[in-house]
Amino acid sequence: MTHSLEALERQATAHTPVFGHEAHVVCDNLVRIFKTEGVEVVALQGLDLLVDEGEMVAVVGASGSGKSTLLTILSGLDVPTAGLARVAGQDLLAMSGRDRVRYQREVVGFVWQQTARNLLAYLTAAENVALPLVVAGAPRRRRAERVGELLELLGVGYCRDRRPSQMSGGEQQRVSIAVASANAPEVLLADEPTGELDTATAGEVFDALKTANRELGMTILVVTHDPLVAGQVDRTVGIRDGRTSVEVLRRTEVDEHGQTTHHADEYAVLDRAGRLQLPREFVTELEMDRRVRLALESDHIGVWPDGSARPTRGRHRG
Amino acid sequence: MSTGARRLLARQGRAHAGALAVVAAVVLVTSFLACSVPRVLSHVYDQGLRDTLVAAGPTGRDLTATASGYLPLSEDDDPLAAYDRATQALLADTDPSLADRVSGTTYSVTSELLTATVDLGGQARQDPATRLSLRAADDWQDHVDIVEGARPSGEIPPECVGPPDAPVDPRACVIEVALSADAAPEMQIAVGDIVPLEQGLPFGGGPVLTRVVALFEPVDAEADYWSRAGRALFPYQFISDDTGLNNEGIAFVAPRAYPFVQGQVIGISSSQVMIQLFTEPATFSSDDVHPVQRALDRLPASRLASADAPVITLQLRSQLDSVLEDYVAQRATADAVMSVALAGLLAVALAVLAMAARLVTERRRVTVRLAVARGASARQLAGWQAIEGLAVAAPAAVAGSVLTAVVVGGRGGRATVAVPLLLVLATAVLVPALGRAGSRGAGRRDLWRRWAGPGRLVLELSVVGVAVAAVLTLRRRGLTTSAVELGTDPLLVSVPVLLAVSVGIVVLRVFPIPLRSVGSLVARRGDAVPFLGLARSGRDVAGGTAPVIVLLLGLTMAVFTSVISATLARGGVEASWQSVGADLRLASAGYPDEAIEAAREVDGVAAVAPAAISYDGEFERRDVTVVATDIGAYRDVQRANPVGPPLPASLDGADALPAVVSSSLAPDGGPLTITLRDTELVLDVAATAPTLPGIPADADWVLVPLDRLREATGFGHDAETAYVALDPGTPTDPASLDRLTEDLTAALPGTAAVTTRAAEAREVADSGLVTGVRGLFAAGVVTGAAYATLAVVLTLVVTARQRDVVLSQLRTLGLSGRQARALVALEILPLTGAALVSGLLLGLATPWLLAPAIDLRPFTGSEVATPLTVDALSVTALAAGFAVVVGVAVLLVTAANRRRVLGSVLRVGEDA
Repeated sequence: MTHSLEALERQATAHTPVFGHEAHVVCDNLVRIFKTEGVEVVALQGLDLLVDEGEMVAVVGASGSGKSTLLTILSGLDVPTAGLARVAGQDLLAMSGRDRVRYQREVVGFVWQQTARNLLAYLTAAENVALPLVVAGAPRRRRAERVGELLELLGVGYCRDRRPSQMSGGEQQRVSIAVASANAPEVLLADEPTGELDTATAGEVFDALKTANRELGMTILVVTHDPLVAGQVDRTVGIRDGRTSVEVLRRTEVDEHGQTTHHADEYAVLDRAGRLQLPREFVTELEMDRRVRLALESDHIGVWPDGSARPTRGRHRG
Repeated sequence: MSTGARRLLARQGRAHAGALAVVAAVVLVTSFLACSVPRVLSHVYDQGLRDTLVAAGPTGRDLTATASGYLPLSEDDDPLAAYDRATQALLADTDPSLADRVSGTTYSVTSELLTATVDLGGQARQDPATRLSLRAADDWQDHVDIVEGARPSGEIPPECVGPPDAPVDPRACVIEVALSADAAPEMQIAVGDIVPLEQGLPFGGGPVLTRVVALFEPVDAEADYWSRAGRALFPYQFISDDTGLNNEGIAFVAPRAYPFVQGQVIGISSSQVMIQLFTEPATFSSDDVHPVQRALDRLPASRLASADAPVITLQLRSQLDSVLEDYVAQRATADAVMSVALAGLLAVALAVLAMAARLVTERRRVTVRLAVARGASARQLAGWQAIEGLAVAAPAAVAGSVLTAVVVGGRGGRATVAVPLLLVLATAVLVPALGRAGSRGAGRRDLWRRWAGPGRLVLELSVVGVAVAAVLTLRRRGLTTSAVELGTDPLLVSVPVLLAVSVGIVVLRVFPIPLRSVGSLVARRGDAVPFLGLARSGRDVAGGTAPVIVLLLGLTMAVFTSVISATLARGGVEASWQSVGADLRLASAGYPDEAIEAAREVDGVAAVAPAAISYDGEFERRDVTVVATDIGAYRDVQRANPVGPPLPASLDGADALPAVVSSSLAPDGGPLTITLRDTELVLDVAATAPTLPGIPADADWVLVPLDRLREATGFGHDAETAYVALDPGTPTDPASLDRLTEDLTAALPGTAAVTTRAAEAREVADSGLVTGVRGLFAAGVVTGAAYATLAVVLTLVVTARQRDVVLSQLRTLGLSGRQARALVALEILPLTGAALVSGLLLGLATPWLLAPAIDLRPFTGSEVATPLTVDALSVTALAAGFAVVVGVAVLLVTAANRRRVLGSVLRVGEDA
């Protein structure tokens, strides 16, 4: 194969789009390893994730799959061992201390599962919401306006002068969302925000998150176990063993009769190196172990267990 | 700071009021204690100085100017007024720092000693060995009561002046004198007697006739006045081989009769003018010592001049400078030992403060993490926490300081400002620093670990290395003599702290090793409680380095001060033995053997050793004190003496005189030849010793059997000293000793002086400086132990939440109360036990390590260094007390956990 010099020059100067260059949240081959006295725990092992601006995404996964580690990294509280993590154009691996402070003030807001980690027990709801504004040095008048606005928006205006102990779990979490939104961050991260709530209250909290997404234009990433929550967002990303494994895309279609149907399509995630995690139940069902046979067809790739009959068509790999 | 931040801080402070109150309490108590010390010390040092000055007596503290000669009689001027002027001039020229302490003045003219030999009244005197000085003093009459006769007249009889051109007939001129009522009988003189006094050769012109017109008694025999004129009350007596008992006394003449004394009227050729300025001990304060010393370096002189007499110069002198020098040395020792203890305790206090600050940051971990997550910068957080630290510590530190001013009083000095300031700054730094450490480690708490990298190892090795180097340097350098000028020795005070930190580091590094072995052994037995307890103990549950350092340093300081206290107590006893030489020492002109035998029969007396002490022995031109005694009795007397000389079973020598001699005289033993009153004595050295009780430690001495010395020299060698040992159970309180002394003086007639060891020891022990410093040491022991206790409590409180969760989890699995107590005990015992043992050992070792740099001698009043002494009782009590505290703490912690509702503890979880 020969190339002309012009062709090579064109190729060299041509703009190659960076992975996820248009996405609001980008994780590319993210690795986080915790080391302690001779033991290494690989919490994230090459995780890829793209979230567009204004999107609301749920991240689901079993306990220990790396969901919380991902959120801690995205909130700027932890630093990944390797890979790329970028939120609103801010490279999380290359942040100085000052950048990190600015990032936490202006770019991300965070809601944890435990109320005790979101709200200070000795402050009222209004004071809790004012805390990030005080930290950011917002003027007094602006603080008062913003606090009232957020509490009303999230439907907890009546809790303004109540302390956490005087509020229900759902109210606490809605106030927590207000706190996380106080400095108008671009991204809101929520770690199991409904984990300690009953279904009805969880619905209220999730509505509050949707309100924040819609009214405040924030990109929202929710880590959850709750299938009800996961079922209410357009995209759910599944994490397994520190990597994104599946994505469920939901769309709503209205047919010619005006009938609304909800569709959910599950996809396996293909990373930039071409790796793909097969769903565990598929692997178990076909007793796949160690090796599989692959066959490239014109419009798909076939996967067969090792030892099964040789596929008859296409190019084979095994 | 914005209003919002201020309000936030206020709310936060109220929310964590308990933890902040602990910080405030630690600052307050530490500030109070630390500010008390200089104030108490100012009292102690003042009292110590005054006691020293009182003990030195008037002769030790007066300013005295003496000169041979006299002021000539002048018709134009009143010589008494001239003396007065000279006195005032001396006072005016004295530096005010000293002059302000002068409480009175006196002047006197005293003749030379005149021998009473001839009675011109017609009666020959029997006793030729009586000598009297005539003294005219301005104020002697104010201090006496005339008990017989009438005051001497101040008029000069015309027959003593005579016509201008004719010589005075001394036989016609009689001077009226007064004698002490106690002295007169000793000299066999009564009121009305004419006592002729004659000058010694070569001035023997003619006798001076005196008539004793009055006998007096002192208004107050104990008054300082009589310390300055002791021989006026009772004559100095001694026995000489040729004249027997000698009396030397003073006879007073009326003040205006001074011309007699000056010899201007009659044939006295030599007299002495003396001006005295009395200093008042109560007016001295320890801060004045250096100015007074400088003033003593340039004491003024006054010149008494007249046209027809030689000029006499009165140079003011004083022994006060050497008294003050001793005091300053004593104070420097006190300062050195106190500064070691105080620096240690201050370090303990700071470590406790760090623990209290950690309590705050533990309570605030969630808040800080939340603030960090919400975008608070490190500087913002540090600023807020520093302000909070200041807001809590500053009022507490000031309150502590003010409280000391109100409660303790005294003078504060720089430390009363510096220490509170240090505490405030330490709080303002510690709270944010520990808070910052607490805000780290976001994410996986289960994988959190201690800092154990090479950096830590290097730091730890550096600290240990610096400690070892400091100890070696200190021991090599030895005693620092510049402490008096330079104040606290930074090397000396830093060594114990460095040592404690080093030992703490080593303990923390080493103790997990045996713990792991024990843990694995226990694990094999399958018993859950010991396994869990030991496993938790090996982790960071005890709260890290600070508690270990506090426990260790607190105990080290407590034991250190107890060893120094015990050594000082022992030093005082040894010094009293060295100074007195026995339980009692009686001195006279000479005791006959029967008297000694009688004394042995006195109730409460165990042994009496007669001794003849001669100071005029000589060996290679060195003065040698020859102590001749009944060796058997002397051995009995010395039986209870801890610093007694080694006395061989028998002191027999066939030819040579057997002797125990000072090590300085015969370092290699062997025969020794000394000279005593022109007699050569060959001594057979049976033993040597560095010192002999009752003889100054720097003197060369020999101890020989009295009977053999008499044989060898042919002299009588009267035993003028009696060493008395008391029966073991005999009470030594002042009243009992007074009674015993009365009995003994009755048995031993002629006793002029009695010294008791108990009184000497009491004098040292009761002196203001010693009492005060020992009191402070006792307080140091208590404070060290209290901080160690606080450390245990704080350790348990700081880690209470984690422990509550674990205990609650285990309770849900069926852990009984007893098992919970065992678990908590096992969790804290290994570390507290290791800290206790190493603290006790280090406390015992520290005095030995510092010994070359601390000289306790000025403090014990001893001339010989006292070996360091461990008071086993107080050390055991400390260890036991500490064990009780730990036990009580364990009970309280488990009791508190049992009261908690399991659900709430477990639901709140680790991050609450």
